[in-house]
Amino acid sequence: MSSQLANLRDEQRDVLQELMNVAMGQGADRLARLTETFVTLSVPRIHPLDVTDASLLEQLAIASQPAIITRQSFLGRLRGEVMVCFGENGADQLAGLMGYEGEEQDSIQDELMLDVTNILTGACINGLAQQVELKVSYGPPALLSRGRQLQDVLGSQEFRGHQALVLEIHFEVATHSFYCDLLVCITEDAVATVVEVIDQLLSDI
Amino acid sequence: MTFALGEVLPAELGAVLQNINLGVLLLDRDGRVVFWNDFMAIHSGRDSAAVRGRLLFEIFPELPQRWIQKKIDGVFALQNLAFTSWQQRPHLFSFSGSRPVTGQTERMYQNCTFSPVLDAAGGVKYVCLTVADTSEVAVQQLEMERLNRLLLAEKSEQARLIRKLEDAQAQLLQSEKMAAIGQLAAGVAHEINNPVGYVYSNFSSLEGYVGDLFKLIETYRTVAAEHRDAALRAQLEQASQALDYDFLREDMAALVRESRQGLERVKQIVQDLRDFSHIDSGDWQLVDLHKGLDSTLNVIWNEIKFKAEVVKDYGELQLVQCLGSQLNQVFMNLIINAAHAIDKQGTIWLETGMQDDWVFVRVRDSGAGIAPEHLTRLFEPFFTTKPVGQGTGLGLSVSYSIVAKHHGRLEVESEPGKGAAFTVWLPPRQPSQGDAEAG
Repeated sequence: MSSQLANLRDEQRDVLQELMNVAMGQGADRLARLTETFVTLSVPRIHPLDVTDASLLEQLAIASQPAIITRQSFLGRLRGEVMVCFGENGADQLAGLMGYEGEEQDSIQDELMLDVTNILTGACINGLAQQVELKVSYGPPALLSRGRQLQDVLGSQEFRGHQALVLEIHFEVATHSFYCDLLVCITEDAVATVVEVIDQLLSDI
Repeated sequence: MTFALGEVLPAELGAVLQNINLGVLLLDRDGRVVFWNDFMAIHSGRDSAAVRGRLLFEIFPELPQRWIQKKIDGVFALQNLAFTSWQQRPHLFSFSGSRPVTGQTERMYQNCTFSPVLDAAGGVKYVCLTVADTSEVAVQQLEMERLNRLLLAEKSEQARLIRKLEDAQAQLLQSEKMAAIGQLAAGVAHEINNPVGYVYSNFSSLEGYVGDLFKLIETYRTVAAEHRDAALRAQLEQASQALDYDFLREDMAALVRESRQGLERVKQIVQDLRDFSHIDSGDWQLVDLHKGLDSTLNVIWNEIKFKAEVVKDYGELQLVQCLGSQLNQVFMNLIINAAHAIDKQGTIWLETGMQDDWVFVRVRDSGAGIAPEHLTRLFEPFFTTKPVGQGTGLGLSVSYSIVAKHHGRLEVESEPGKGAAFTVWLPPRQPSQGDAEAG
């Protein structure tokens, strides 16, 4: 099955890239309206590969820096998890934007990161789900690890099923000098769904 | 806009919504309560009719208004869920605990979810807020975290004790080694003592006999000088010149005298070795510390005589109840350390006296002094600044524990470059057995 995604034809890959670009564009637009600031979401880099493949992790720019990493599940026919890598200050710079005020910086750091994780996951996955006309639901966000490299964290996890699609997205709120990186992993069985939709779109053209 | 449940839902679905074991709230864009199920009514004590149409922040003034408004805005803007977890925000709503009798928790732990409720056109109409009671899980997890912390604390305490045990064992080894050396020294001293004893007493006799012999020769010479036979006189004169009799007589006396002095020194060293190791006094005795200092100094004299001039400044001391051989070990460590601290040539002061009913013995040197960062670690076992193989790092820690055993204290003062002073403070009498531990 994983070969199905790894062996995407060029035009399939282009469609997938386009789907993600649109999803990110919508996500950025909504985030900007919510926070009333200028938000940049990078064009996602798509790695249709196996996450357990160490060579992939080495390619990822974000994999080798120690970070605070959160995760959140999205469920339904489109199934997987999003991992968000924060710098050592988490999302502290966004406290004001997210409605946290007059609270101890320490006590809110975790919740603030979870909030940001939830918003980014929603923006990103909702955009994709709407285009492929699938319903998704979400699990609550949670802390995955603190102070370790993504490479180590993923390396030490026992993955259930093969992960297939890895999207690397850089999220930046320039006015608050904040950025973080997202890794979207889709499970094996959901890949078939996505490829099906891609082929459908291609045949419509 | 508000509505009654019966108008929009079949009765069965309405019952489900009311009876479900979750708090369910519908909020509009401003945070006004549109719907409020029985769970909320029961736990807040406010009936559905009383809250409908009112702002959530009015009903619960303790809620973080701006934060909740942001959550609602987020749901409207992103058409997305939002979550709160009991771990980060344990009690969003201040409801009383869900285990009123057996529980230890005063307030209910909650997980909350904000979700969009869409209208027919696909726009967000309301925010649905569900409140789940997670007290059971939270209480168990908190208890486990507490136990985990306890275990970790216990583990580190055990590690500390193991380290302490290792230190104690090392000190024990060192003091056993010193005791063995002391015993050996005492044995050797004893063995030497006997032959030296009779050589010394024989020598005294020998000195007498030699004196007598010379007297006899003198008599012969006097008698010969008055003899008429010139040939005999010349023969005697020639013999005494050939043997250099005058020199022989003088040198013989000097030799005997010096040998006797040498023997006396051997006797003194043997005595000092015996005093130092106190093999004959394993228990607490009243001891003259000056004697102990002097015999220790003699034993290690060879190590210090080329490096330091020793200046003694002894005060009036009463006898001290102590384990003499162990205290001598302390003095030896301190004096040898002082000598090692001196690079080329310096002075070691030995000062004693009484102050406030305490006896003190101070070993001061004009050496290199001790770096401030080392001062706190001096008495740690294995701490040494000497090159590998030259110091075990145990001398001062053993000294420290010996002094502690005497209910005394070992103090150090030092200024780098200006030398160091170690002071042993001892009580003249040990506390009686009963309160010995307290000292």
